Amino acid sequence: MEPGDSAILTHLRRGALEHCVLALLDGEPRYGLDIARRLGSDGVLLAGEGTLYPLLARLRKQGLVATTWAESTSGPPRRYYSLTAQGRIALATFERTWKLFRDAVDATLHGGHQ
Amino acid sequence: MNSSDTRVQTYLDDLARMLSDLDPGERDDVLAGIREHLDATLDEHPDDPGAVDVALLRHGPPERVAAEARADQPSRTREARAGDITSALPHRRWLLAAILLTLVTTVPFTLATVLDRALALVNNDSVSWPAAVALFPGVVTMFLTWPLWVAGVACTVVARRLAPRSWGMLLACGPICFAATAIATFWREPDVVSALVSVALLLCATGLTAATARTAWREPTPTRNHELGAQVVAPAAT
Repeated sequence: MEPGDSAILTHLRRGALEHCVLALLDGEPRYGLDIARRLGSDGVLLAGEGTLYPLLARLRKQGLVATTWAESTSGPPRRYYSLTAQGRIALATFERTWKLFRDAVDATLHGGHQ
Repeated sequence: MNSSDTRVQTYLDDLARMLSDLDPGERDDVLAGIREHLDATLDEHPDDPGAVDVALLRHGPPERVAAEARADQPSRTREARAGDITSALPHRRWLLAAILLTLVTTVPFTLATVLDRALALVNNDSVSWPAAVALFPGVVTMFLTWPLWVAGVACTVVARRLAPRSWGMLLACGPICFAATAIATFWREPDVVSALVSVALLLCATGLTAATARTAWREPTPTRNHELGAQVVAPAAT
Protein backbone atom coordinates (compact mmCIF):
# COMPACT_ATOMS: atom_id res chain seq x y z
CA MET A 1 0.00 0.00 0.00
CA GLU A 2 1.41 3.40 -0.97
CA PRO A 3 1.74 6.12 1.72
CA GLY A 4 -1.28 8.03 0.44
CA ASP A 5 -3.47 4.93 0.28
CA SER A 6 -4.25 4.98 3.97
CA ALA A 7 -5.69 8.50 3.89
CA ILE A 8 -7.76 7.74 0.79
CA LEU A 9 -9.09 4.53 2.33
CA THR A 10 -10.04 6.39 5.51
CA HIS A 11 -12.18 8.78 3.47
CA LEU A 12 -13.68 6.05 1.30
CA ARG A 13 -14.58 3.88 4.29
CA ARG A 14 -16.64 6.67 5.78
CA GLY A 15 -20.22 6.12 4.80
CA ALA A 16 -19.53 2.78 3.09
CA LEU A 17 -18.32 0.60 5.95
CA GLU A 18 -21.51 0.75 7.98
CA HIS A 19 -23.43 -0.50 4.96
CA CYS A 20 -20.92 -3.30 4.51
CA VAL A 21 -21.73 -4.32 8.08
CA LEU A 22 -25.44 -4.22 7.25
CA ALA A 23 -24.77 -6.36 4.17
CA LEU A 24 -22.91 -8.94 6.28
CA LEU A 25 -25.90 -9.16 8.60
CA ASP A 26 -28.35 -9.58 5.73
CA GLY A 27 -29.37 -13.20 5.92
CA GLU A 28 -28.07 -14.24 9.31
CA PRO A 29 -27.16 -12.69 12.65
CA ARG A 30 -23.43 -12.57 13.44
CA TYR A 31 -21.37 -11.85 16.54
CA GLY A 32 -18.72 -9.14 16.78
CA LEU A 33 -15.63 -11.29 16.32
CA ASP A 34 -17.15 -12.94 13.24
CA ILE A 35 -18.03 -9.58 11.68
CA ALA A 36 -14.58 -8.18 12.46
CA ARG A 37 -12.81 -11.14 10.86
CA ARG A 38 -14.89 -11.04 7.72
CA LEU A 39 -14.45 -7.30 7.31
CA GLY A 40 -10.80 -7.25 8.34
CA SER A 41 -9.58 -10.21 6.32
CA ASP A 42 -8.20 -8.06 3.49
CA GLY A 43 -7.09 -5.06 5.59
CA VAL A 44 -9.04 -2.72 3.31
CA LEU A 45 -12.40 -2.24 4.93
CA LEU A 46 -11.37 -2.24 8.58
CA ALA A 47 -8.27 -0.42 9.84
CA GLY A 48 -8.50 -2.03 13.28
CA GLU A 49 -10.94 -4.50 14.77
CA GLY A 50 -11.66 -2.11 17.65
CA THR A 51 -13.17 0.49 15.35
CA LEU A 52 -16.00 -1.92 14.52
CA TYR A 53 -17.65 -1.54 17.92
CA PRO A 54 -18.35 2.20 17.88
CA LEU A 55 -19.87 1.60 14.46
CA LEU A 56 -22.05 -1.26 15.74
CA ALA A 57 -23.11 0.87 18.71
CA ARG A 58 -24.08 3.64 16.33
CA LEU A 59 -26.06 1.29 14.07
CA ARG A 60 -27.89 -0.05 17.09
CA LYS A 61 -28.64 3.46 18.30
CA GLN A 62 -30.05 4.30 14.88
CA GLY A 63 -32.27 1.21 14.98
CA LEU A 64 -30.61 -0.40 11.97
CA VAL A 65 -29.38 -3.44 13.89
CA ALA A 66 -30.66 -5.25 16.97
CA THR A 67 -28.79 -7.47 19.41
CA THR A 68 -29.63 -10.75 21.09
CA TRP A 69 -27.59 -13.05 23.29
CA ALA A 70 -26.95 -16.67 22.37
CA GLU A 71 -24.96 -19.45 23.99
CA SER A 72 -21.62 -20.32 22.45
CA THR A 73 -20.17 -23.80 22.17
CA SER A 74 -16.67 -22.51 22.82
CA GLY A 75 -16.93 -19.90 25.55
CA PRO A 76 -19.21 -17.35 27.19
CA PRO A 77 -22.54 -16.27 25.61
CA ARG A 78 -22.20 -14.08 22.54
CA ARG A 79 -24.02 -10.96 21.50
CA TYR A 80 -25.43 -11.45 18.02
CA TYR A 81 -26.19 -8.52 15.78
CA SER A 82 -29.06 -8.80 13.29
CA LEU A 83 -30.59 -6.52 10.70
CA THR A 84 -33.84 -4.74 11.56
CA ALA A 85 -36.53 -3.83 9.01
CA GLN A 86 -35.18 -0.30 9.03
CA GLY A 87 -31.69 -1.68 8.44
CA ARG A 88 -32.88 -3.63 5.41
CA ILE A 89 -34.36 -0.47 3.92
CA ALA A 90 -31.11 1.41 4.57
CA LEU A 91 -29.11 -1.39 2.93
CA ALA A 92 -31.37 -1.51 -0.15
CA THR A 93 -31.12 2.27 -0.52
CA PHE A 94 -27.35 2.13 -0.24
CA GLU A 95 -27.05 -0.65 -2.82
CA ARG A 96 -28.97 1.43 -5.36
CA THR A 97 -27.02 4.58 -4.62
CA TRP A 98 -23.68 2.79 -4.51
CA LYS A 99 -24.13 1.38 -7.98
CA LEU A 100 -24.79 4.86 -9.37
CA PHE A 101 -21.82 6.28 -7.46
CA ARG A 102 -19.46 3.46 -8.47
CA ASP A 103 -20.45 3.69 -12.13
CA ALA A 104 -19.97 7.46 -12.10
CA VAL A 105 -16.53 7.15 -10.49
CA ASP A 106 -15.48 4.37 -12.90
CA ALA A 107 -16.67 6.34 -15.90
CA THR A 108 -14.77 9.42 -14.73
CA LEU A 109 -11.59 7.48 -13.99
CA HIS A 110 -11.64 5.63 -17.27
CA GLY A 111 -12.54 8.79 -19.14
CA GLY A 112 -9.59 10.54 -17.51
CA HIS A 113 -7.18 7.98 -18.99
CA GLN A 114 -8.37 8.46 -22.54
CA MET B 1 -6.53 -15.80 29.73
CA ASN B 2 -9.35 -13.26 29.36
CA SER B 3 -10.19 -9.58 29.73
CA SER B 4 -9.00 -9.66 33.35
CA ASP B 5 -5.45 -9.60 31.92
CA THR B 6 -3.70 -6.41 33.04
CA ARG B 7 -2.92 -5.30 29.49
CA VAL B 8 -6.51 -5.77 28.39
CA GLN B 9 -7.80 -3.98 31.46
CA THR B 10 -5.41 -1.09 30.88
CA TYR B 11 -6.59 -0.86 27.25
CA LEU B 12 -10.24 -0.82 28.33
CA ASP B 13 -9.56 1.69 31.13
CA ASP B 14 -7.75 4.01 28.71
CA LEU B 15 -10.60 3.73 26.23
CA ALA B 16 -13.21 4.33 28.96
CA ARG B 17 -11.42 7.55 29.93
CA MET B 18 -11.28 8.71 26.34
CA LEU B 19 -14.99 8.04 25.89
CA SER B 20 -15.97 9.54 29.23
CA ASP B 21 -17.93 12.41 27.68
CA LEU B 22 -19.97 10.21 25.34
CA ASP B 23 -23.51 9.07 25.99
CA PRO B 24 -23.13 6.44 28.78
CA GLY B 25 -25.25 3.88 26.94
CA GLU B 26 -23.20 4.17 23.76
CA ARG B 27 -19.92 4.12 25.70
CA ASP B 28 -20.95 0.98 27.62
CA ASP B 29 -22.02 -0.63 24.35
CA VAL B 30 -18.61 0.00 22.78
CA LEU B 31 -16.68 -1.19 25.83
CA ALA B 32 -18.82 -4.32 26.24
CA GLY B 33 -18.41 -5.22 22.57
CA ILE B 34 -14.64 -4.85 22.73
CA ARG B 35 -14.42 -6.80 25.97
CA GLU B 36 -16.46 -9.67 24.48
CA HIS B 37 -14.35 -9.61 21.34
CA LEU B 38 -11.09 -9.80 23.31
CA ASP B 39 -12.48 -12.53 25.58
CA ALA B 40 -13.54 -14.60 22.58
CA THR B 41 -10.20 -14.07 20.83
CA LEU B 42 -8.17 -14.97 23.90
CA ASP B 43 -10.31 -18.01 24.64
CA GLU B 44 -9.10 -19.40 21.32
CA HIS B 45 -5.49 -19.23 22.52
CA PRO B 46 -5.59 -19.94 26.26
CA ASP B 47 -1.95 -21.08 26.45
CA ASP B 48 -0.37 -18.45 24.24
CA PRO B 49 0.98 -15.51 26.30
CA GLY B 50 1.55 -13.51 23.12
CA ALA B 51 -2.13 -13.73 22.14
CA VAL B 52 -3.02 -10.67 24.21
CA ASP B 53 -0.50 -8.48 22.40
CA VAL B 54 -1.64 -9.76 19.01
CA ALA B 55 -5.31 -9.22 19.90
CA LEU B 56 -4.66 -5.67 21.11
CA LEU B 57 -2.56 -4.92 18.05
CA ARG B 58 -5.37 -6.10 15.78
CA HIS B 59 -7.77 -3.90 17.72
CA GLY B 60 -5.72 -0.80 17.04
CA PRO B 61 -4.85 1.93 19.55
CA PRO B 62 -7.65 3.13 21.85
CA GLU B 63 -7.23 6.62 20.39
CA ARG B 64 -8.37 5.31 17.01
CA VAL B 65 -11.40 3.56 18.53
CA ALA B 66 -12.28 6.76 20.43
CA ALA B 67 -11.97 8.77 17.22
CA GLU B 68 -14.35 6.38 15.45
CA ALA B 69 -16.80 6.67 18.34
CA ARG B 70 -16.90 10.43 17.74
CA ALA B 71 -17.20 10.13 13.98
CA ASP B 72 -20.95 10.76 13.92
CA GLN B 73 -20.79 13.83 16.10
CA PRO B 74 -21.66 17.12 14.40
CA SER B 75 -18.79 18.50 12.42
CA ARG B 76 -16.89 21.12 14.36
CA THR B 77 -13.64 22.93 14.02
CA ARG B 78 -10.50 21.29 15.29
CA GLU B 79 -10.09 23.94 17.96
CA ALA B 80 -13.67 23.66 19.15
CA ARG B 81 -13.40 19.89 19.41
CA ALA B 82 -10.15 20.15 21.37
CA GLY B 83 -11.85 22.67 23.65
CA ASP B 84 -14.76 20.32 24.24
CA ILE B 85 -12.47 17.46 25.13
CA THR B 86 -10.56 19.64 27.56
CA SER B 87 -13.70 20.88 29.25
CA ALA B 88 -15.04 17.35 29.47
CA LEU B 89 -12.11 16.23 31.53
CA PRO B 90 -12.09 16.87 35.28
CA HIS B 91 -11.79 20.43 36.29
CA ARG B 92 -8.63 20.42 38.38
CA ARG B 93 -9.89 22.86 40.98
CA TRP B 94 -13.06 20.88 41.61
CA LEU B 95 -11.04 17.72 41.76
CA LEU B 96 -8.53 19.28 44.16
CA ALA B 97 -11.37 20.49 46.40
CA ALA B 98 -13.00 17.05 46.31
CA ILE B 99 -9.77 15.31 47.29
CA LEU B 100 -8.88 17.81 50.03
CA LEU B 101 -12.35 17.72 51.58
CA THR B 102 -12.36 13.93 51.50
CA LEU B 103 -8.93 13.79 53.12
CA VAL B 104 -9.74 16.42 55.76
CA THR B 105 -12.91 14.63 56.83
CA THR B 106 -11.35 11.19 57.06
CA VAL B 107 -7.59 10.86 57.56
CA PRO B 108 -7.13 13.07 60.69
CA PHE B 109 -9.82 11.08 62.49
CA THR B 110 -8.64 7.65 61.47
CA LEU B 111 -5.03 8.49 62.38
CA ALA B 112 -6.04 10.11 65.67
CA THR B 113 -8.08 7.04 66.53
CA VAL B 114 -5.13 4.83 65.66
CA LEU B 115 -2.98 6.91 68.00
CA ASP B 116 -5.62 6.77 70.69
CA ARG B 117 -6.03 2.99 70.56
CA ALA B 118 -2.31 2.32 70.23
CA LEU B 119 -1.31 4.57 73.12
CA ALA B 120 -4.10 3.21 75.29
CA LEU B 121 -2.85 -0.30 74.58
CA VAL B 122 0.80 0.53 75.25
CA ASN B 123 0.01 2.45 78.44
CA ASN B 124 -2.57 -0.08 79.53
CA ASP B 125 -5.34 2.51 79.42
CA SER B 126 -3.49 4.68 81.92
CA VAL B 127 -2.88 7.57 79.56
CA SER B 128 -4.91 10.63 80.38
CA TRP B 129 -5.66 13.01 77.58
CA PRO B 130 -6.54 16.65 77.98
CA ALA B 131 -10.28 17.02 77.49
CA ALA B 132 -10.00 18.74 74.09
CA VAL B 133 -7.61 16.11 72.78
CA ALA B 134 -9.57 13.22 74.22
CA LEU B 135 -12.63 14.40 72.34
CA PHE B 136 -10.85 14.57 69.00
CA PRO B 137 -10.38 10.91 68.18
CA GLY B 138 -13.61 9.13 67.62
CA VAL B 139 -16.59 8.76 65.47
CA VAL B 140 -18.66 11.49 67.16
CA THR B 141 -16.21 14.25 66.27
CA MET B 142 -15.85 12.80 62.81
CA PHE B 143 -19.62 12.87 62.36
CA LEU B 144 -19.63 16.61 63.06
CA THR B 145 -17.63 17.18 59.89
CA TRP B 146 -20.41 15.79 57.68
CA PRO B 147 -21.14 19.16 56.02
CA LEU B 148 -17.55 19.23 54.77
CA TRP B 149 -17.84 15.65 53.54
CA VAL B 150 -21.06 16.45 51.70
CA ALA B 151 -19.28 19.40 50.08
CA GLY B 152 -16.53 16.96 49.04
CA VAL B 153 -19.13 14.65 47.51
CA ALA B 154 -20.58 17.60 45.58
CA CYS B 155 -17.11 18.53 44.27
CA THR B 156 -16.51 14.90 43.30
CA VAL B 157 -19.76 14.83 41.37
CA VAL B 158 -18.82 18.04 39.57
CA ALA B 159 -15.43 16.52 38.67
CA ARG B 160 -17.26 13.43 37.45
CA ARG B 161 -15.11 12.79 34.40
CA LEU B 162 -12.78 10.64 36.45
CA ALA B 163 -12.52 6.99 35.55
CA PRO B 164 -15.64 5.38 37.06
CA ARG B 165 -13.63 3.25 39.50
CA SER B 166 -11.74 6.24 40.96
CA TRP B 167 -14.94 8.28 41.14
CA GLY B 168 -16.74 5.57 43.09
CA MET B 169 -13.79 4.98 45.38
CA LEU B 170 -13.47 8.67 46.20
CA LEU B 171 -17.13 8.72 47.23
CA ALA B 172 -16.73 5.51 49.22
CA CYS B 173 -13.73 6.69 51.25
CA GLY B 174 -15.85 8.74 53.67
CA PRO B 175 -18.27 5.93 54.64
CA ILE B 176 -15.42 3.40 54.84
CA CYS B 177 -13.35 5.59 57.16
CA PHE B 178 -16.43 6.47 59.20
CA ALA B 179 -17.30 2.79 59.64
CA ALA B 180 -13.72 1.92 60.61
CA THR B 181 -13.58 4.78 63.11
CA ALA B 182 -16.95 3.79 64.57
CA ILE B 183 -15.77 0.22 65.08
CA ALA B 184 -12.53 1.42 66.68
CA THR B 185 -14.38 3.86 68.91
CA PHE B 186 -17.07 1.57 70.25
CA TRP B 187 -15.43 -1.87 70.15
CA ARG B 188 -13.30 -2.05 73.30
CA GLU B 189 -13.47 -5.67 74.49
CA PRO B 190 -11.40 -7.81 74.43
CA ASP B 191 -8.90 -5.08 75.00
CA VAL B 192 -5.82 -6.25 73.08
CA VAL B 193 -7.61 -7.95 70.22
CA SER B 194 -10.01 -5.07 69.63
CA ALA B 195 -7.15 -2.57 69.72
CA LEU B 196 -5.00 -4.52 67.26
CA VAL B 197 -7.87 -5.18 64.85
CA SER B 198 -9.05 -1.58 65.12
CA VAL B 199 -5.58 -0.22 64.40
CA ALA B 200 -5.19 -2.53 61.40
CA LEU B 201 -8.63 -1.58 60.10
CA LEU B 202 -8.00 2.12 60.50
CA LEU B 203 -4.60 1.92 58.82
CA CYS B 204 -6.16 0.07 55.89
CA ALA B 205 -8.92 2.68 55.59
CA THR B 206 -6.36 5.49 55.78
CA GLY B 207 -4.12 3.83 53.20
CA LEU B 208 -7.08 3.25 50.89
CA THR B 209 -8.11 6.89 51.16
CA ALA B 210 -4.59 8.15 50.48
CA ALA B 211 -4.17 5.78 47.52
CA THR B 212 -7.56 6.77 46.08
CA ALA B 213 -6.72 10.48 46.42
CA ARG B 214 -3.40 9.89 44.66
CA THR B 215 -4.99 7.88 41.85
CA ALA B 216 -7.79 10.40 41.36
CA TRP B 217 -5.32 13.27 41.17
CA ARG B 218 -3.01 11.52 38.76
CA GLU B 219 -5.61 10.45 36.22
CA PRO B 220 -5.73 11.99 33.83
CA THR B 221 -2.76 14.31 34.32
CA PRO B 222 -2.79 17.66 32.51
CA THR B 223 -0.22 16.32 30.04
CA ARG B 224 -2.39 13.34 29.23
CA ASN B 225 -5.38 15.64 28.80
CA HIS B 226 -3.47 17.58 26.22
CA GLU B 227 -2.35 14.43 24.41
CA LEU B 228 -5.84 13.02 24.56
CA GLY B 229 -7.34 16.15 23.05
CA ALA B 230 -4.79 16.03 20.25
CA GLN B 231 -5.40 12.36 19.58
CA VAL B 232 -9.14 12.39 19.65
CA VAL B 233 -9.48 15.25 17.22
CA ALA B 234 -7.47 13.30 14.65
CA PRO B 235 -9.62 11.97 11.79
CA ALA B 236 -11.23 8.62 12.44
CA ALA B 237 -9.37 5.83 10.65
CA THR B 238 -12.17 3.32 10.42
